[in-house]
Amino acid sequence: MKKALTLIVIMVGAVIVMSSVAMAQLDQKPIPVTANVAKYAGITPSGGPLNLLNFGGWPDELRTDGAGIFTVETNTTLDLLFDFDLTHESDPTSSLITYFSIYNNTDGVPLTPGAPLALVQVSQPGGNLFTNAQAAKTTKSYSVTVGAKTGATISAQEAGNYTGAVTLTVSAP
Amino acid sequence: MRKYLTLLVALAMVLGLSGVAMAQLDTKNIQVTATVADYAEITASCSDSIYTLSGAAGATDGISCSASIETNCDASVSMSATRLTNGTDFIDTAYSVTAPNSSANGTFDPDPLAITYLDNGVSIIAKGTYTYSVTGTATLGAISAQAAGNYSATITVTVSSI
Repeated sequence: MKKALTLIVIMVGAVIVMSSVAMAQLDQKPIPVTANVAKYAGITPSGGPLNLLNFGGWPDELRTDGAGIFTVETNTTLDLLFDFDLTHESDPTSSLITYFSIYNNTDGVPLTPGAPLALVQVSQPGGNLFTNAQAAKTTKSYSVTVGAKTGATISAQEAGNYTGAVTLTVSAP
Repeated sequence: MRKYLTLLVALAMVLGLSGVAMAQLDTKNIQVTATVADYAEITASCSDSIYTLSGAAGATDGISCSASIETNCDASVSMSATRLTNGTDFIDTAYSVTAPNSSANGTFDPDPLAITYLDNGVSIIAKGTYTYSVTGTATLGAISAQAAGNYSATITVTVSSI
């Protein structure tokens, strides 16, 4: 019995030694690999076109429309710049006073004060900038309600068709 | 005549003495042996080791490296790689190996799948110098699936005696 046990122990030992000899590692080299992912964001608009319908032509007339949506996906923190203009189609110097409200649908957070109900006048020129408004690696949806108002006097607002766009520009701070 | 005889005897004595001086009395061998251990070295280099990715969904880029292996014995070669990560996010990668013997070509994916080069075994080489080419491809997920910035990974080449 003792002899058999000794034999087994020796055989197991031999197998272990043989297998380690057979698989001896001679060299190993690491090859470092790196990657750089550029800052990137994509905007998908939906819900347009918006139509403020027909203004009567009298002073300080405000009309609104809503449901324009921008969906923004990003891999980096973003500044959001919203702009909105309406310019006379044959007289670029004549424009309506523009308003909007910007609301973050995803988080239920207003970007402009009182959004989505209250409108704010669009800062001109350039629009309204919201810094660090969207975190990296997120997808957010923003709804836009637009408004426009005629000037304070009848003659301040030329009759005719006005066209423009709500523009969202995203950038990395 | 006597004079010639004396000269001949003298010559014979000189020859006899020198023969005694050169007599082989004994010879022995001392055995000398040498053992050259199994040995191999890997020299790795890359023509491009940086994945440059635009950030767009599905964006891809490749890298290209090679490993030159010199061995004095039969050896096996295996390769593996860690995942490409910034510590938080991961980028999918896949690697392809072109071996000196095309039948040993193969692919591998990074851990934690833990699949090393040639799933059914490893490439076997004999004494000589061999070059393996390794190409990698990284593919981004959705835009927001991984943060912008720098990522790193390591490909490991191992040669073992068999």
